[in-house]
Amino acid sequence: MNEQQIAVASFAGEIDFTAREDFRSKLAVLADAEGAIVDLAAVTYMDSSALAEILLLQRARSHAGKPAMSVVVNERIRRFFEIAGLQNVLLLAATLDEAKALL
Amino acid sequence: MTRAGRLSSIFGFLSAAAVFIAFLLAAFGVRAAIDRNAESERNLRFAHVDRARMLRLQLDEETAVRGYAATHLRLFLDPYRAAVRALPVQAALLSRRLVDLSVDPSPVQQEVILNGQWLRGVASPLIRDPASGSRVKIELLGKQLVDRYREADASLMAEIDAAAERSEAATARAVNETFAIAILGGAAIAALLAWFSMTQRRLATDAELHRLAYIEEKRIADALQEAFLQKKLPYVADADLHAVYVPAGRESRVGGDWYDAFELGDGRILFSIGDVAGHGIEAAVIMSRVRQAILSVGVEESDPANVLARTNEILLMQDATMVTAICGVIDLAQGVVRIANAGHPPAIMLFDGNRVEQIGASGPPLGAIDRASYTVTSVLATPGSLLTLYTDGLIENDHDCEDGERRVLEALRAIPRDGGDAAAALLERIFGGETPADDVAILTIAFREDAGERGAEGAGAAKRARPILRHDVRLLLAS
Repeated sequence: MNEQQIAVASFAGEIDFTAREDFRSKLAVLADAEGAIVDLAAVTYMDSSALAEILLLQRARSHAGKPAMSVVVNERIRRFFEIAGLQNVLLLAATLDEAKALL
Repeated sequence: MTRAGRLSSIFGFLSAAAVFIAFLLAAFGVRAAIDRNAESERNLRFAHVDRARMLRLQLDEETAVRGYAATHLRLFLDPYRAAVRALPVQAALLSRRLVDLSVDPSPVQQEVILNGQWLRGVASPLIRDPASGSRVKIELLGKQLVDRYREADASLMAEIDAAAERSEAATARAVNETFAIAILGGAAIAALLAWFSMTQRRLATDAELHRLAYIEEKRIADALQEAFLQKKLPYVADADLHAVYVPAGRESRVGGDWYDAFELGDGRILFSIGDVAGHGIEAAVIMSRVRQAILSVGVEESDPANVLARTNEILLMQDATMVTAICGVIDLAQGVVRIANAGHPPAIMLFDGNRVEQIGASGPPLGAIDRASYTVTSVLATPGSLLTLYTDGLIENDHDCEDGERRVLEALRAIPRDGGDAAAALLERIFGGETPADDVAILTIAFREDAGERGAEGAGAAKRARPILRHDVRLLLAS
């Protein structure tokens, strides 16, 4: 995919329900992009409310006919996505470059 | 503190600091004005003294010359000469002082000129020839010159007095200005304090309203949760079911955790555990919908993977949220448990009190993906084994779910298998009486050691089923 069609939203630290509104508004930039990457490489913890936001976005995008999103995860966050059974729903990548290559 | 509260504190502090600095500058200003005034008063006093000295020198010269003219005694000429030498020096000193004081020194120069004229036109002729015939005329000139000298002196005195008045006026003005600054500063402080306290009060009121709204919401959410949670788990012949639910320690986190177990008849038990993303009333309401959906589908549908898939479709029709859940069916007659997982922390089977196994792969959470599909994992419900299901509050208390899982596995091995409440024992081992940060629900199903003695038919069925089931498990593990 052309680099210019890809939008990236990067996050760091802990994302829990207290940051939900903020997280949602930052994710919103990905809604209309052809390719979307959620960069969670620097995230140390997220709870299910953050996961819910990502999945809501994924659903909205899939309804709009957009391709699956890619998510950059570190080992800890990857485990979180795997517990949630999302490894086949979202394209998990270890680096931003890998994520771009997956799109 | 809120952002507005911090802002008003910072603003208040800065304003107070600014006013304080203004006061400080004003105080320094007054001090400097008073110092300047004292300095200039001292100089003005010296100027008066110098002026008087010059006048006296002129008079000394005149007296001496008159004395000499009258007596012809040279004795009078000594003070005359001293005065003649001293006068220009004194004049130079005074001129410089006047310039420093911004006073016009021209009367002093005028005096020096008049003195020169007097020396040449009056003093010299009289000293040269005290008995001169034109003495009257000379004295007349002398009187004129001395009168003009006195006039110059008078105007000089007036100039110096005017300068003194100017200096006093400047000091008074500086003091007045400083007073004005102080009064304005005081008014500004009062206004700021009023604004600050109003802001603080408004914030406090807002916080109080929030708190009340919060308490109300929590009360309703708690009431719903309480109403929804199953009070009594089914009593089953060959298994002990136990459950605990602990609300979050942080009030804001009362969430949508649940557990359920129903006897479907025909020796099957449908159970579920789950967690609605989000908190408060909304989460509690969604939780009730999911549980109803699972139950109504589960009554008709024996495959837990299909139960979850259909529940997912039902949820997608209604709400935009995410729910993680495990749904399972225990078939006591066959001695097998079939489990499907929708994004939930995996169930754990403890065999022989030592070997632990996390059960099965997970599909996506409910309410997230259209046409999500789930897989079923079957495990043997061997006598003495313990099946444990929990919500993420149990493993994420320290924000490290891997470490949390490890601790749960260790705790399960250490729980005594005496038919007691395994759910409560696990909770106690993980939290040791502390209140968890997030809601925690635990459902345990302990399959009794003595199951075979209770129902020969059930045990027989379980034995017959085992070879097939082992094969089934191996296949699932391989896949």
